[in-house]
Amino acid sequence: MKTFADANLSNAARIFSVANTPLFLLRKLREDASVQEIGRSFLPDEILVELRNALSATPADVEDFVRPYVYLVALGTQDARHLEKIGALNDVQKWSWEWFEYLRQVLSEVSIPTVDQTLKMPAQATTTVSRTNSAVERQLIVITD
Amino acid sequence: MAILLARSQLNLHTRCENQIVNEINREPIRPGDLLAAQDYRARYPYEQHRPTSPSRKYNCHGLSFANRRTWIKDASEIAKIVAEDDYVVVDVQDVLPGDIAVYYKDGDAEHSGIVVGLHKVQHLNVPVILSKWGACHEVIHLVSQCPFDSRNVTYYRIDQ
Repeated sequence: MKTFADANLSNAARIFSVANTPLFLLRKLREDASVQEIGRSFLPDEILVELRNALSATPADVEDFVRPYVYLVALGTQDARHLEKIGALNDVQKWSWEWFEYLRQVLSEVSIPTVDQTLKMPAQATTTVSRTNSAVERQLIVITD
Repeated sequence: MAILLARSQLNLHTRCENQIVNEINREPIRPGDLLAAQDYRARYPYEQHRPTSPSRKYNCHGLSFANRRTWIKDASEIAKIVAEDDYVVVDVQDVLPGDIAVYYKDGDAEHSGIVVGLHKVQHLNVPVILSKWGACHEVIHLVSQCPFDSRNVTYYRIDQ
């Protein structure tokens, strides 16, 4: 996926149309291939820009209504700290996307806490290993003499 | 003539007189809602799609527990209703028309409906459910023939 316009949101729109509860929407969007691909293809700051644009637009169809939720969940699959950068929604935005704040809170609460940890271990050679366990957990292991 | 807000909460109580959190959205249907409903009619051709319009005034839980009056979105409210309205769990083999089916997934009551019949498949009676699919229309469907996870459905009955 090269641009956000490449994302096919038709399945996400279908999910949104039958969502009785916000948690159903969240679960289904997490499973959606387009949402996962957006999370893999773009940097958090790029998703943030698109998210803000989507929130500023007047929704014209179901895809426009689901778009902010798609970007929110995609962002949630990355570094959860970026969820705080979205900023508060204004009243108009809250009106159109009434589950947004709730889902952001849920995503923040269920995200793995970010841990930056440096471990120094004695060894024969000096080697630096950077290991990533998940999108939000980083561990730097420095092996020294 | 009463002036009503576009969105508001109805006074809706359990038998124990505790408020059930809800929201009725009286706005016109959103752009695309009709197309989405038509899409589901095409995707589930063997189910009976009632001639009801898409609506955000009520959802499946509002249909099952509040006479189509409002939208109930929180699983905790469904748990409250089940407990305070004296619902009892019914085994699937004992289900009868009039019972309520609640579809659970990871603790969330993601869907519900009213049992309106039983469809005999060999030796099994498969419940037939009247429900509303989110903002779309009402559908009468076999318990598993819907966009919701039907692997964990609990049936409830009020017996007194």
